[in-house]
Amino acid sequence: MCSVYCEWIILKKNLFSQKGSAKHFLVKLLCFSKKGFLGPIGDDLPSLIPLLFGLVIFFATFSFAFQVFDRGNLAFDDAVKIVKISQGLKGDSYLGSAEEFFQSCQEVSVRGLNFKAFIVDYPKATIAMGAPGPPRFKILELTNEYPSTLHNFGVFSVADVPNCPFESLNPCPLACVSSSDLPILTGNERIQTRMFPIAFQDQKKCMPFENPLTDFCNNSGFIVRPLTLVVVTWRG
Amino acid sequence: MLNLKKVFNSRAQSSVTDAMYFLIIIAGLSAFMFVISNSYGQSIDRQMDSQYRVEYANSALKTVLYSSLPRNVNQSLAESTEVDYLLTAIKEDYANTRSLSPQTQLIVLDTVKAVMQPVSSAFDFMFFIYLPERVFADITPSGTGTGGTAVSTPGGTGTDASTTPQASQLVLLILKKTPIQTGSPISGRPDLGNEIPTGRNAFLVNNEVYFFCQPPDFQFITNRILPRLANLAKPLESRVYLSVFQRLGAGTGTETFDARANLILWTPTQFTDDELTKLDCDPESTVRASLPASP
Repeated sequence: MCSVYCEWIILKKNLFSQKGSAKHFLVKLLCFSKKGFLGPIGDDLPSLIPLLFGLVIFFATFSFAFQVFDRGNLAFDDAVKIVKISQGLKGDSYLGSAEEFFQSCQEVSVRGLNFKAFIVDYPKATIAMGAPGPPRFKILELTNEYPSTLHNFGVFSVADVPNCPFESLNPCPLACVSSSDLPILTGNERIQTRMFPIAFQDQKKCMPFENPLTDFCNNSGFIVRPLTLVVVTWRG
Repeated sequence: MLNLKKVFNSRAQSSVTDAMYFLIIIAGLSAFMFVISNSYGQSIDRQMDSQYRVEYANSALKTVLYSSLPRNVNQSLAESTEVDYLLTAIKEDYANTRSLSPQTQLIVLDTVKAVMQPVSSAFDFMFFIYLPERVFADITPSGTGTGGTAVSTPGGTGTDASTTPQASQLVLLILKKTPIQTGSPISGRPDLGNEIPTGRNAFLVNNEVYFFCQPPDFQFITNRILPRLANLAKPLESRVYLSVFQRLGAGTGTETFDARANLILWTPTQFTDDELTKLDCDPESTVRASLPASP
């Protein structure tokens, strides 16, 4: 409407010839200085909306992608460290003695990652003999209760090994931890587990007789048991 | 002139149009970045997982072969006065009879089961020991061979031996196979279109998982089964070279050669009836039933 009026005024009234008048000023202001709807800046104001929207979308996606890359890189870093820990503990899959296992545990040095390593008799650990229900693998229960014992667990001393019979119902694992003051798990940690079969050379020792009819002591030689090395890691 | 003025007065529209173009481009780039970030690291994850499985297979193979067993199989490991490596028992048994007794086979199976238990729910596997193809020297007791070139083999005895090329020979093959039934997943409901597997697949309905196989031609495994698994199930293989495998020759001499122990893991897949027939497998229960009753 405004542009139609301006055209009519210019063509019909010829007000340009009347310079200095208020009408001339108004016509000039409304009809000739106006290049768009509002003005040079006002005309661009509507375009700011999709611009801002686009920028918000771009930066939101950018930050999301960075978070994903960051998380992925952290996971890869952890995976490499887990491989390093596992190879340090496993060696060539043949452990000559418990002392060798503890020595390997001490030599493994990884920053930023807590770990606990077990050597367990996996078939026995997963089955509670004679108990109903599904098999229980309670050795790996890393609940809030367990770390309180883990906190005081420390590293098994060699003297404790003979007190840890493999043939009992609750196999006592050879275990080592990354440090003696592990933080208690809160439940939000990302826990990763790796299991490897290892051949463990065990000295034949005299064990406490559970059944005098079947148990007897034989100190000679050694036996190689197929056991499982379990490595559990989490970020502190 | 009127149209030109209309064009001049509509300059603000181009800014909005430019902004819309910008928005479209940004939306496209953001979608592309979103897709890339979702797939970031998947191939590395797969490689790390694959590496872990290979390491597991390597460790499992060594553990199985180095495990001890009591010389008297009726005793437990802790109470036995004499123990030896499982590999030694395999070599001894094979040297005497050129085959493994059911007892030795079951001891190997129990050890393999214990070692593979952490991953057995997710993978099928095959453990086999074989003698690779080579030229074997037939040693005659009197040394009077039929001619030919003498072949010196480590540990071999006799002279004037003839050479006989021999194909690869299987010593032991243990197959762990997850039962996979065809047809309707609901069994026992013929009205729902359940198809009962026929042929060799029929024994899978009995939930037999472990088998001892003796294919007449070892090449069937290397030329048919393994390539098929490579196409379908991405198998992971571990191999160990075993030395000083001996067996009695035709006379009083012995032949010494190298063997191979392989452990192959793959995600569960179904074999055809023809393949199972050619593998000639017996379930574990059949072999256990053939054992003499213990006193």
